[in-house]
Amino acid sequence: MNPDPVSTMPVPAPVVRIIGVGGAGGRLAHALSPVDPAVSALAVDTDAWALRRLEGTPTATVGDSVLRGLGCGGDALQATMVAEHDQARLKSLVSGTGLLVLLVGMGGGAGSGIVPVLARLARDSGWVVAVIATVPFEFEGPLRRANAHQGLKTLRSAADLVIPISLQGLMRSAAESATAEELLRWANDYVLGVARELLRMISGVPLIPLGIADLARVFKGRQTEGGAAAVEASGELRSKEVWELLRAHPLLRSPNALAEAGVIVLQVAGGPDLKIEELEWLEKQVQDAAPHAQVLLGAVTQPVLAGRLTALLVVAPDAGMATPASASDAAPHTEAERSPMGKTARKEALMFEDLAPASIGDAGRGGGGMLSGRGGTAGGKPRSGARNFQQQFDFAPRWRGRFEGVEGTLRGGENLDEPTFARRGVKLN
Amino acid sequence: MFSPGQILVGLEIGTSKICVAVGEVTDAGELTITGFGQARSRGVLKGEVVDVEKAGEDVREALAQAEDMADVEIEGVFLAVTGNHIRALNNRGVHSIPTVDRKITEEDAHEALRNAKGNNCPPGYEIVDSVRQDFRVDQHSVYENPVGVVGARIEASVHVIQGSSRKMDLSRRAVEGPTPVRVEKAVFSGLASALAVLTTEQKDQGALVLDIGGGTTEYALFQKGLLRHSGVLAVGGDHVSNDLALGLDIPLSLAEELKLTLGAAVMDTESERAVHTIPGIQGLPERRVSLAHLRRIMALRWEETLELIARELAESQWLRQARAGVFLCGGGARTPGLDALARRIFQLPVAYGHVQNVSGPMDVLENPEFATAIGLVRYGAMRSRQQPRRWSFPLLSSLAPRFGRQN
Repeated sequence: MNPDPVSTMPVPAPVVRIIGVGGAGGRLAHALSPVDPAVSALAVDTDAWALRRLEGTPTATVGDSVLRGLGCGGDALQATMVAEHDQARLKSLVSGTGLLVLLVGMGGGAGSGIVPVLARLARDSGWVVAVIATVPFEFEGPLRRANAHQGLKTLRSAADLVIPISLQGLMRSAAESATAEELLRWANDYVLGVARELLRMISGVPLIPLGIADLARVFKGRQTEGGAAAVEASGELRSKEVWELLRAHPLLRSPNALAEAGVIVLQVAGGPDLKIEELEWLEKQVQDAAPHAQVLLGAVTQPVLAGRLTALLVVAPDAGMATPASASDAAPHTEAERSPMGKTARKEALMFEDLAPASIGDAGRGGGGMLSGRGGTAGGKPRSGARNFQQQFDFAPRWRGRFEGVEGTLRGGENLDEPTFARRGVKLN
Repeated sequence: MFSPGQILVGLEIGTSKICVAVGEVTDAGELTITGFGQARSRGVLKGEVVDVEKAGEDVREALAQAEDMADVEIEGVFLAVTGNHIRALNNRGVHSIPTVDRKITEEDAHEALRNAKGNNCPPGYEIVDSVRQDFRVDQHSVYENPVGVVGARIEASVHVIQGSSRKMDLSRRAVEGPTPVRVEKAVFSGLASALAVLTTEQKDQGALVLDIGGGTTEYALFQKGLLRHSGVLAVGGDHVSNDLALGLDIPLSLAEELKLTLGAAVMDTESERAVHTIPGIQGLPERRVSLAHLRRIMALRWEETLELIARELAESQWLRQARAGVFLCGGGARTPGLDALARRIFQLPVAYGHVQNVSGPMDVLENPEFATAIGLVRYGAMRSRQQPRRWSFPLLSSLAPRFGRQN
């Protein structure tokens, strides 16, 4: 058996902690942990056998006394009860304070059941909690979808920021020839791409400080649809390449995506050679493309990024304005995939219910199974009838009671139909 | 004064209630409320009609009550409109004087006003009300009436209230649909309330009227006798009930009841530890609700609402000069502590608005929910009074009446 995972954990970095919860979450944490040694990653599950496969990543089992390390068999309710029962153990995982990134594949028992409890305990301890959650494929069945739905619903009130990523949407955007393994690896890479750029906000040397709490603040209370994209480029024209990639990204190719944006967060990271002009130029491009949006710019440097430039763009349109882009939007996207930028750039994360079709395995694909190929030269066959619209971006509780489904009352980026106490984070014990 | 014997009807299709006031101008020139009607409102959300059929039924019920009481047959109504679609702005219009002697004529003033009114009206919107402000001649002198003044260029300033034609049509259809009643004129509900509760002196001194309804809060700021700033925040008492229902995890009807019986707009020390017990119904166990939570939820909402309006008005320099103070009306004005909260936020004296210079049943005149309907009657009376003046100053009075100076 594993030695006591908590006691064998390396001393955690004081600021950022990543915890992958459940089977998929554990694997994500395992994949992310070697990326940045300063970031401590931990996998938590009810299934001790699944955790054993994550060699080199600290692990912790929950509910040993009840489940004996055999897992909860997809029963999210049981996982929640076990997590509540094991609160002391979970609390020990989130001692201290800082940014906690929870990675989870919603739908299974452990992920859907434990994450809300863990997020709540962490928030109560003073952590800023961001959750990146994958939502299951449709073919995974009603039980897993119901688990995911319920888990996300609870999560919205427990975490500061929830970024759901629809696997079904990813599948629709992939080439028909993609194997199941490719698809899952691709999905993982989406999550990791966004997570990695979020981590840079904290781990990089800030030039223009922008924290996860800023994100939570601006997105709190929004009834919005939106997405996130992470891209990377290198070379002399890297800032232009980054912008070209972002523009070529389906999120920004949609004619209304930026025009309807209420909030845009642009996080740029580069090496010591990062120039202010590059930041200024990128910010100007975004602001010009979205004249009505509140644009938050952050910039960090990391020695490891010398010669490169990465950008994370999170877009949330004003509530009530987001409309599904028409199928015709798929055409420019396909065209964009043939951009010559593909060889030098990688495009990592986005969150769409349905994307314009593209191949996974095209020429520009970089190492580690990233979504680099989407910027490459060999686009896949468009799938007939593919639609292109964005998935709901659940940053805040959809909690409007009698005003549910009604056009929102928007002021200053907030929907006033939502209770004031909820938008201001006032707790009612 | 007003045209004697004229029957004027004000109709407000509110989010919670439909209110009708029937008024008559007496031989002595005074305005008297001779009948009123009130019905629950079902087809309205946040001040906008969303179900024409249901709203129409409720309107007919309220009109029938008013007709019975006043013993008249209502043919036309002044209709209050509000909602998130209403936008108010101060426009300027310019006109160059073409004549050789540069003497400004009524036509010139009319042209400048027309330019001011027509500016910034997006497609699908129509002008609900426009209130003439001042004229400037050659960019410096300010005139109330510029006719006869010599200058090369006249600039008119108008406060314009616009509304979505589509949404206003829904309100009109609820009234006109199956009945022979016609809408004489749609009037911004915030303006109507202000006309009811402010005296001429208060408008001159400067006053802010907040009409806090079920689904919206309207505001109208007067200074030097003129409407200077107005608007709507689509937040009202319904939002408070909704917040309570969600925050305390209770049904909406119970939230509404608790809001009325235990609610307040400010926190107090006494309620910190107090607990209200709700008896169990139909075998359900009794519930205990913390009074502190209830009041905290309400205080947060009311504070936010008033702060948003204060922030909106802070852009106008007139608020600081509103020496007559803030006047609260509408159903939400009944909330205990709202006056204290408004005093703190606006840093001005605050009072409950009462209908002024109108006679009629005291229970109606004292009811803050009827302020808008009575204000509509006054609007109608003022409008009819302007008709004879058309010969003396026809275009200006018909284009942009100055409600500030007339009552």
